[in-house]
Amino acid sequence: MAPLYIISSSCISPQPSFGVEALLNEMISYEGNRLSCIEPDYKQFINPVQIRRMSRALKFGFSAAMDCLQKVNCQPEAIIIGTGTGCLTDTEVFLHSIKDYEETALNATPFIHSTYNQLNGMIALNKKVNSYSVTYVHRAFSFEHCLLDTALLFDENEIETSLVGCFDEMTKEHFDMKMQWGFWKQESIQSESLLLHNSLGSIAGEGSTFFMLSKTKPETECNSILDIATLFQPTVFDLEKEIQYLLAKNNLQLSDIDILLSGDNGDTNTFEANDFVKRFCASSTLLYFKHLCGEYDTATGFAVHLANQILTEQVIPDYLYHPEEINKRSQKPIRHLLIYNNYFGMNQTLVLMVNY
Amino acid sequence: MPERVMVSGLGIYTALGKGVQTNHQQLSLQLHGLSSLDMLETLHAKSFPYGEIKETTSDLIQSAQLPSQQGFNRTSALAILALQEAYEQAGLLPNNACRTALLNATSVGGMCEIEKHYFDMLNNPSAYKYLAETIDCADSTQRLATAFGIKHFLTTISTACSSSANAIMLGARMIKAKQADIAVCGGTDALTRFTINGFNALKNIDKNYCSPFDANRNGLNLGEGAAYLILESESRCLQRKATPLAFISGYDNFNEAFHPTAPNPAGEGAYQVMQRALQRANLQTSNIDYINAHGTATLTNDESEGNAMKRLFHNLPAFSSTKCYTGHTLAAAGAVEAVFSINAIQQQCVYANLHFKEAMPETGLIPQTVFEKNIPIQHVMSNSFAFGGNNASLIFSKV
Amino acid sequence: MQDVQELKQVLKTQIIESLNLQGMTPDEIDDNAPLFGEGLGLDSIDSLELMVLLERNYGIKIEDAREGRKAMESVQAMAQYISEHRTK
Repeated sequence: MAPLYIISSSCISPQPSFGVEALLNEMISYEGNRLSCIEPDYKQFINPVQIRRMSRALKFGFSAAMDCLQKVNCQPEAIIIGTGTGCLTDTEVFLHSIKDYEETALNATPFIHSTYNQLNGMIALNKKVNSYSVTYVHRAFSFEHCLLDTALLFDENEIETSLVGCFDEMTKEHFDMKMQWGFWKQESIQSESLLLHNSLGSIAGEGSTFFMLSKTKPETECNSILDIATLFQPTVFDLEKEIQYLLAKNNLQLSDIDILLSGDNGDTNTFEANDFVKRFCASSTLLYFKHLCGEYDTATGFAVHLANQILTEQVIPDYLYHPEEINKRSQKPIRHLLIYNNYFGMNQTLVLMVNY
Repeated sequence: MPERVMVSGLGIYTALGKGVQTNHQQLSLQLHGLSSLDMLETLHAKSFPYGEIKETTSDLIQSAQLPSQQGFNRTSALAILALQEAYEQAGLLPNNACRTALLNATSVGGMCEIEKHYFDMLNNPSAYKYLAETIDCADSTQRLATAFGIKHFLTTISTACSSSANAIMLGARMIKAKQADIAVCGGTDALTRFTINGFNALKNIDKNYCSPFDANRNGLNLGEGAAYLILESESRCLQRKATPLAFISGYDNFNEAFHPTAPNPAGEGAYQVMQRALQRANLQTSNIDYINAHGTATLTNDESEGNAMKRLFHNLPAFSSTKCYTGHTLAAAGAVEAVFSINAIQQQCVYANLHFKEAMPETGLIPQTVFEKNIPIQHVMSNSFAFGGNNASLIFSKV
Repeated sequence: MQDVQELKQVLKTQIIESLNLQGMTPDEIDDNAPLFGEGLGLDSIDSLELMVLLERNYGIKIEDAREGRKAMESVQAMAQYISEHRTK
């Protein structure tokens, strides 16, 4: 596949990741198993007429996209967005209003916003981008498929640049239901200690990340996404085969992977696969990210943003190591980084990145 | 020059019935499938006509003959039934060794079941754990993948009413790029209270049978259904001696960036997307023999699409909207109408646009109003336009 | 029965609330200024929400979008329409 050069990146997350280019020196730890985004002052990105109708997910998604576009001076030739649940608040509001008003005199706005491609349309409308536009809604493949689609468009010589992003929000209603369904840890934990809790479930998160991707390598130092794989309910054997294949396709050895950024979400149900990848990539420095952003369908977007910063700065903050492995600090130069995400076993993905 | 992308199997389930043959027969008899609702409880059950499939969800699940029925909803059951037909026609068996990509589309996924229990679910989630996996759009895709043994690649696209047209487009691109041997593309949507109330709040559902491209049209009728296409390269088709039904000669996706829900009345986005699809197919407007229009019968769509067709085609070929037979099946519509477009090629026919009386003053265009057969159909264009300016156009051609 | 003057005042508050016109006060809305396009700058989605406002608060159901547009030309026109058609 064509490498995807990262020209700019913006991320709204439970960490103060927005409006700063550098890696954070420290992380914020949350209690209570639900991490919410730190929301910026939206007025600088959204005009007053638009903002009054927008719910949270649209606001932080739109702001992340606008910020990402402001950093570069060009129009994207495609807008490709991934989301697992879209504007969940709007979906819930509309469900409630159907019940509360007994199917009469309903406001259309939450219905309109519950359609998954709303953010695509809104960005296109605002920036007057007449282009290819698609929304992927396949759970924890959603963001990865945006990257794959962009790579295909680059290979087809259709476009030179693409705005690729993701957004997902967590609402109280959804959190409470998924709590009962065993998605989240039953005991209330501090997010920084996520990996120390040997129990079922994870912690909930949310966020939005956008990237401007280019087909052409910029003249300055930069990073790119080299390859992506998405695996549906893979066995450990499938995983091993896929990693080998990914490395072979890119003429790499296992020892070339300097960092493994693991999406281990602390759920003991996925221990086997997470442990396998960790042991398989034993020569790589092992880092984690779900304790920063929580678990959600498009958390890989957060991971790619973080990876991009690590590759650029060649620095690894202490909070990215497993709390018990902090003595394994690495000072080596970082060239190749592999993200492995595991969303409750069913969707597992690999993203291979490189620094030039 | 990349190989041609062939369509080797079709499967469909709409209010017209189950199967490609039944759908074609009803269309050729100019019989629509619209009626008031019997299967779904809503205040609006009798207020509007709908393209409802007259089978209970549990009967649908039964007839799909699944090893386990746990958590299956209407959206997934319709999808499985339609895909079974497509596999059969293509001569493919489930769990085959091909690198198969499943590109599925849905607009509301498991909402059909979730909305029935939502408030009980809030109060007592543990009683509804069997619905936990069905709450999003990926569920029906993953169930299809499991039922047909597809592991190589699976995704779900949701761009409202153009969703499955985009799924077909992605399938064609993946086959061209040799990223898959077989691409299974299409979409599924069941009628839900959620969408009925949503479109009603937008005030664009017609109380009567919808009349696309008519001066007095007054909105759309909603429908449900699922449809799938099997795509593969020409060489693979030859190699396994499959009979290609048509090939995909052109496609395009273009965002018109005009308004959150309404199209540009002048039809700029529709014009662009059709033109770009023609360019990609290396065809002239005069090569198109039939257009299966988006034709929702809303005030804005038909004006916009009409203007665009008029501007692009000097001699407009026969065109009609088949949404007056099936209702607007939302995310499934692109695939449903792709099946009809390929049928038009197979049967060398054009379908009639029902309930048309008077041309829109803005365009003066008159759609095809009678079913006609034995006419040469080489290339068919199928349009799908959506909320958010998400437009798509596909061109299917005779092998 | 409210007089039209009073109704207009109530209506302005309701419009601000239902359309979430943050930071706007009733006094800033001119009785005769067009609500759509120029003037207040509302769009077609707002017009749907105003129809909901009429239905929920005054029991007025506008079926025809064209008639709705006319009834909602300005606050003055809306108040007039309400006093003629209200069922609650």
